Amino acid sequence: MNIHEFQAKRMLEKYGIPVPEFAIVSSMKGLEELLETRGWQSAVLKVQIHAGGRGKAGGVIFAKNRQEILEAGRELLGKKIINEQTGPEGLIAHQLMVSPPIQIMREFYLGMTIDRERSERVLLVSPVGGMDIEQIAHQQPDKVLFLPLPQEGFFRSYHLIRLAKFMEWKGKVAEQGVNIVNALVKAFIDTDASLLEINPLVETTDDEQLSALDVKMVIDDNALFRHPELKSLFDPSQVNLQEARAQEHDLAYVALNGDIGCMVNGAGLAMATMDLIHHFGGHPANFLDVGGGATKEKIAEGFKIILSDPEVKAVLVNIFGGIMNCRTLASGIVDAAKSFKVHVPVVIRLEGTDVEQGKELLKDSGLNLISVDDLTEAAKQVVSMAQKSGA
Amino acid sequence: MSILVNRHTRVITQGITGKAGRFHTEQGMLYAPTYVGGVTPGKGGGEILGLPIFDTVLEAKEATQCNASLIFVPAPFAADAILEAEEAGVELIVCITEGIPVHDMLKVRQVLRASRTSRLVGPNCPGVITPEECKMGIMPGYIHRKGEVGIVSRSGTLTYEAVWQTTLLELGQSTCVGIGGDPLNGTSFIDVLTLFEKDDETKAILLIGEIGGNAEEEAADWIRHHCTKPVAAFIAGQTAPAGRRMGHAGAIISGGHGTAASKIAALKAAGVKVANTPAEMGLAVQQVLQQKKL
Repeated sequence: MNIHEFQAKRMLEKYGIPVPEFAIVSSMKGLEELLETRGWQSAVLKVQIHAGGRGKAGGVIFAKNRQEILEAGRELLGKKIINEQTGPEGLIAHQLMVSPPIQIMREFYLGMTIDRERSERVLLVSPVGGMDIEQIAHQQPDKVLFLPLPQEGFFRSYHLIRLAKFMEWKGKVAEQGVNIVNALVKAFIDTDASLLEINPLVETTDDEQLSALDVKMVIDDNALFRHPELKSLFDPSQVNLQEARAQEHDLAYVALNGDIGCMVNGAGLAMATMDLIHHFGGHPANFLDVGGGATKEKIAEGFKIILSDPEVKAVLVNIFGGIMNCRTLASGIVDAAKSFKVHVPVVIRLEGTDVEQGKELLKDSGLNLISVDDLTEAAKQVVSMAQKSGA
Repeated sequence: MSILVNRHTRVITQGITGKAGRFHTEQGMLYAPTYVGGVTPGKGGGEILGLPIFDTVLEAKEATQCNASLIFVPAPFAADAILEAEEAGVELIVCITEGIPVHDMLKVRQVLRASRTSRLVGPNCPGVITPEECKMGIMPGYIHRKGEVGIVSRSGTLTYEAVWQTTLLELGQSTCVGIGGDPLNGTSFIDVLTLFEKDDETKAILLIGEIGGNAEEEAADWIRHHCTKPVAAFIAGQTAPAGRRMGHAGAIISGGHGTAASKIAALKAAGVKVANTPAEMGLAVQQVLQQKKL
């Protein structure tokens, strides 16, 4: 689960990591009141969306006076930001972060993540912050230090000495930097984060203090059961409509750009089905894994989510019954089709447990469903139908 | 022969009184009589499906001499269930549970790596089956047929698809192992390939991978240097967009890594026959078997 920058900053503050002063507004009225109470004469306004690259996408404005601040607020509130990270649909900024400008002397990168290949937690640091870490690693590999976190969950003094030297931190700054690293590690473990990144960590000119200017945090969805306080940070406005609905019903759904809706059980088979559609010249509208043990209700919901996408011109259902038998699948589809007008052709390929009963149910329903036994044949058919109804 | 499980395996189920645990234990017992007991804390002394229930794995092991455990314990407690089975010295631990927190799996991986007694398959996997001998998992038994293809896969239903194709072609399977869709898992492709290489019954190997991580590339490297048996493969997710997670926690292309293209290239370079579509997995393995026999 992604959380917003301001939520992550508040989290880090609790762990004693200094964060530059900021406020959050979600309306022009709020912005005016804020300027009134704080008396800021200039400010940086930043959209709060679940994506990076906000500056380049026009989501960050430096405003030099009261009028410019208000103009920036009007421009950014409700603005749709589109870049590689947001996907083609973009994300809407419902909240802005407003902060007084600070003078920056140096920028650093600090990030905790999980190295899945080596199955250990790892700290990445760089004395050149402000850029994407992958870019730094690519352009200046000697400016990135990887420090695997010992199993006990904290760094030892010699690790920290090495780190401070690498970052060129001296005196008071070194002391402060080491405290920040220790706090970052603790926050990462405590919150079951899968990514916790401060980029940039800045050293300010006037008081030589380190503070976290931008923070990115991703929490492991599977661990949310033990963090009810984090679960409430979820912002449904930052995910695609169909994806949000699917998530509510515990279905794995990813929106894509094509016109063939897909419903499959199992992630591997779902990807393979997408590949097969592509192979025959079609374009999947989505990835939808209803899971191995789907119920009739989940199937019906999945089917409705697919049909609610206006781009969908034809649907392919590919189910290999294992735990979920084909009868369950068939009755879910029939139920959905009764309560919801099916306006596009639907090709169904069933195999596995109770396949005969499943096919029987579909046939008896009187619905206009095309049942195909062979996987290749099913993919070919759905591609040609999407092309026909698209033309 | 076969690998990991056979007719002599003595299986217990951890979480046997839950809905899934009970159902799949029953299915496993109907398939082959290899189940000897189950564990559910607090229900020790009872009985289910004619099997004794124990409070702990250690008690179950002392009473039944089980050497394999099938885990259906819910995700918040699954890591502990794996650690318990390891500590009791159970040789084969198969964890079906999906959604174990990644920080928990770090601990599990560390312990299993150092273990002298135990091997973990999974988590988030369909399990292991040796046709006609032992079904330890959630796969439908009837699609399998005793035969000569060893199947190893990161996927669930895509494996059933492959199994079904090899059954229809009358090739059959020696053993099928689902290693699971999580990035942090117990048994790797290479672990299973090593076992298949040594197994007399396995005449050819079918490897089913997917996007994300570099397990397929590592497997390809191993095959190139150590494998004398013919290998066919399929990689799912050739058309998946970058940066989006495709259902499995491990199935994501990020920073240009883990693409299907790089995996397919590595496998082809190692002499593996890669099926173009998921409908041709069975044909691909049939082809490599015939070439070998010529």
